[in-house]
Amino acid sequence: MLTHYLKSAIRNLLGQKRFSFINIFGLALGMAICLLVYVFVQYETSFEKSFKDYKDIHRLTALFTDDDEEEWMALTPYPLATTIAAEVPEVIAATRLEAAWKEIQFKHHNVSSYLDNFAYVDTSFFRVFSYEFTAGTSNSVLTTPNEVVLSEKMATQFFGNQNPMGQLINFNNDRDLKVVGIFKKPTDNSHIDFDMFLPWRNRTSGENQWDNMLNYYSYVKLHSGTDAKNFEKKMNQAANSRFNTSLGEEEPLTVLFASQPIKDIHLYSHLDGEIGANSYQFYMLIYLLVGFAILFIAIINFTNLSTARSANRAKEVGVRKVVGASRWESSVQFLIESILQSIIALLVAFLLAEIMLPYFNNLLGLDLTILESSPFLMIGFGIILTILVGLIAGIYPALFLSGFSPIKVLTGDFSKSKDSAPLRKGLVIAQFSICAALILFLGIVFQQLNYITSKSLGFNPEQIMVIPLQSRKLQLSSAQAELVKIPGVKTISFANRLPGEEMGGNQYSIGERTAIQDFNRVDENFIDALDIKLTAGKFFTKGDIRDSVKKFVVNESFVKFYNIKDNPIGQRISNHDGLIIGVVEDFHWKGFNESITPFVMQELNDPWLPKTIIKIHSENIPQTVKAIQQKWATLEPGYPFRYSFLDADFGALFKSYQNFGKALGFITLLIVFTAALGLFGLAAYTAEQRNKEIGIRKVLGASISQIMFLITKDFMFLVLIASVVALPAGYLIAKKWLTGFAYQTQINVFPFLATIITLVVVSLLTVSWQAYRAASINPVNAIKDE
Amino acid sequence: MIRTNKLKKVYRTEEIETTALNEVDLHIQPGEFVSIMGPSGCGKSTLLNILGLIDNPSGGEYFFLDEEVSKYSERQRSNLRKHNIGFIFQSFNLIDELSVYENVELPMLYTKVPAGERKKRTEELLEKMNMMHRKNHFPQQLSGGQQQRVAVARAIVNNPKIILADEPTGNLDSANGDDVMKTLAQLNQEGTTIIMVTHSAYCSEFGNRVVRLLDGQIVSENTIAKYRI
Repeated sequence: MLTHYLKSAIRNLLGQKRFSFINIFGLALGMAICLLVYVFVQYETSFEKSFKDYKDIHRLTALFTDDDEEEWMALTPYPLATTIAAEVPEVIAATRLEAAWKEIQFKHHNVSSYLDNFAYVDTSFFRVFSYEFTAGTSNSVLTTPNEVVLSEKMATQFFGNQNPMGQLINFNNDRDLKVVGIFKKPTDNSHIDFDMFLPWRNRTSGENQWDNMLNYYSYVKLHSGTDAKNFEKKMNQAANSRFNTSLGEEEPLTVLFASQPIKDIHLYSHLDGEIGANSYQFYMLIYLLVGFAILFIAIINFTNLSTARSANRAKEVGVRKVVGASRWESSVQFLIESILQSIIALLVAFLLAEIMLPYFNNLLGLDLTILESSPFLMIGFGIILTILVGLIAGIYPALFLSGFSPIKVLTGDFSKSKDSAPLRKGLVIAQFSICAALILFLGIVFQQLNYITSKSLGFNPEQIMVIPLQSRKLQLSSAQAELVKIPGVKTISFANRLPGEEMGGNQYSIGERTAIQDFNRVDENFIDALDIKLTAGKFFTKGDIRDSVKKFVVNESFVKFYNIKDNPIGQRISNHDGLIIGVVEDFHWKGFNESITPFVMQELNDPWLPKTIIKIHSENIPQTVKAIQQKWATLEPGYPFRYSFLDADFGALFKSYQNFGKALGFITLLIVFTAALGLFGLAAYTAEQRNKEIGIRKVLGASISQIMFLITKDFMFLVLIASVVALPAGYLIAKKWLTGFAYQTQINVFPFLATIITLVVVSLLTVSWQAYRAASINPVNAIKDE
Repeated sequence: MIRTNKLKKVYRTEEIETTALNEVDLHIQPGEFVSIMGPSGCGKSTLLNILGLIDNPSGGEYFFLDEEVSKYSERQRSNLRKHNIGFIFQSFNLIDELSVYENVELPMLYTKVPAGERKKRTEELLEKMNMMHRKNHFPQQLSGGQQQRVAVARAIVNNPKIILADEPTGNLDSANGDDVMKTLAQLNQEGTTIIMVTHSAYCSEFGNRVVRLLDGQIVSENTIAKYRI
């Protein structure tokens, strides 16, 4: 029987090539997007699962409160992990991690690389995180300061085919690290994504420093089944008083330590000082939603076309029933047909997904694969998807077609047998509603992207070359004197950090108020180089650093925060024994998804290597860069010349939003295309059904345009209803998305109009081709047929 | 074999009520070949459809193999139908997507006849109908007469107790029509009960009884003393 059904299904598919193509290609497109969304969701939810007992591993976090201001940080004081491990019995093991915050030179013989994919960790790190070691043993590594463990990739990079164990790697031209272990990177992803782990060199002195050492990520492995609230309570009992004591009694700043399961970090954690950018569940849901939307639209196409074409199958159903088929057997036959189409669609979908994958990867900045990473899961998903799609798409047509009364269809009374037109209209409205909501959302996304990329930043990132210093031997003042002589160079400045980078955090107390604020160390040319406006007081001058009183320049938000609007200049910052000497206009150093917060600039005096900021003229940029490169070779001989442009670096902050916009645009395009494909099929069917009517109208004198209007007006009406129904939904999704931005565009009428016009134009183009073909027939043929 | 008692069929639309069958009493013995005749719209096909269990009467009783079936559900009727009744239509009603062989085999799929037996019976019948050489052809590739021979083969492949034929020669020329009628008569000789709706007096003479309908009522029943074979 199955063979019979399959044979019959294949012949039906081949007999109706156009409709079969629309059905199968539409489903394939929907399924391809679902496959891509599936690998994406699999990636997003795969984090940390490679670690043994990953559900019991938690990261400790710190919530700082100062009056009504709160700051929740992923970073914690250095002694926290060890204190908790010693005093809270639920803790099996605890470890700290300090991520590299700049690139460091690693060298082995002639292999040299600047790398920042390393972290400093405690010996206990591998007790918490179960990395698989291919050489060395995890419980005996990193016990002395000059050791390092490498990922297999790093080992190959430095040592090729040699045995890496016991070999030395030079760290920052400073000391040699001995390779004591090689580990396999976890197969699943992790927010801890480093290729090298090394111990701290002189960190024992920090064991009692609670207050100013917020550079460490603390992790604990808890006994299975530990109640998180209870653990947090005990942790705060052990650690809170120590932290507060270290601040001194008069400090109003309080801290509350908390814990978060590491499995939740990737999708849900967006604290200050995360190791890397984490994802948002909202985006995953959006992708899931659009994946289902396109599949839903393809399924609707299938249902619509199958029921629309029911007249073609009615006789067959009638005959089969007369010769003995039950309704159930007829339904099974049609379901097998739809599952067969779904299977063909799945094969095409894999092909389409492979074709689209590079583009998708590029937009998401990921390296996903369809079948390579977990082929069995993927194939399993494909099979389930196929059966589900086949059943969902086929169930209504199967019930509809199998419900034909044989007597009616065999006596030619088919028209009265069933009417599925109202359902089809409803489904077309549903399809175009989804399209309308997505187009509107997309329009608002682009409006917002346009807004944030064209909004004034409060500084000028253009024609700013950034060169990280690599050698401590370089004299900043002489380098400045040399560089400024180069034609095309306008200003030279040095600063620890640049807009777009994570700033440092420091506590500042004015009067009663103490809070942690972002800060940066800069030299006297910083605001000139970046075109930042000074609104009060003065900026640093050369040599200020030697004064006994520290000097600070703050932004306007700082002035507001500490309520010193009346007289900011000369205000004393009590915990640093310094004075505010100037105020600059607020500028967006964090991008637009975060509000401008209080910001402090201090003079450059750090032992850390700052970055060189070179403002150049807009003319002859290549020559200027080349001249700077030649000069640099004399300033830092032996170090490679590395540079970037600030506008590009800062633009990277918007990249994820722009990529989201592009991904959404791409998927919206596919969705509208799929819906249009369905409409095309329906229009073709309508034209076919109304052949005789059109013929008669033409004989009676109707023009081609009148006939075209007759056919298109019904569809246009449906599309207009869909637009009206869906626009509020699109607006609400867009509003929700915009809440992720501190600075939001004003939504105007334009995206709404654009949505309606787009849909009308798309559907008009789709339908009018069929309408034109129908209207151009020779009426004699149409009437003769009857 | 078949007995109806005051069988009634009324079609209703919003405004009009049409009585297609009005208290029809009909009794058909096993082995009979009954022709139903009458002008267009007299209710012949309606009667045939009810007798063939593809339609339900609006009133009265219908005994099929001594069972009262007028209130049967679609499922019950389908079950009875596939084991006991074969149909032949004026417009053949072969399935275009199935080959000659598959069309004939089709009813046996629904009665769960094993594959070997299906093959044997299909081939035997195609031989009998002289259609074996066309077994892989599709209906569109056949002449009307050939199509009807295939339809006859399909109707009898499950060895039904009764064959219902609705103007089986209506779309055929006289030679092909004659062939079909001879085949039906032959089947009747072999014991199959046949009920046939026809406009043709000539065809009716192949049967042994003629029932005439007018406006949904039986107006006469004549036995044909010497019918054609």
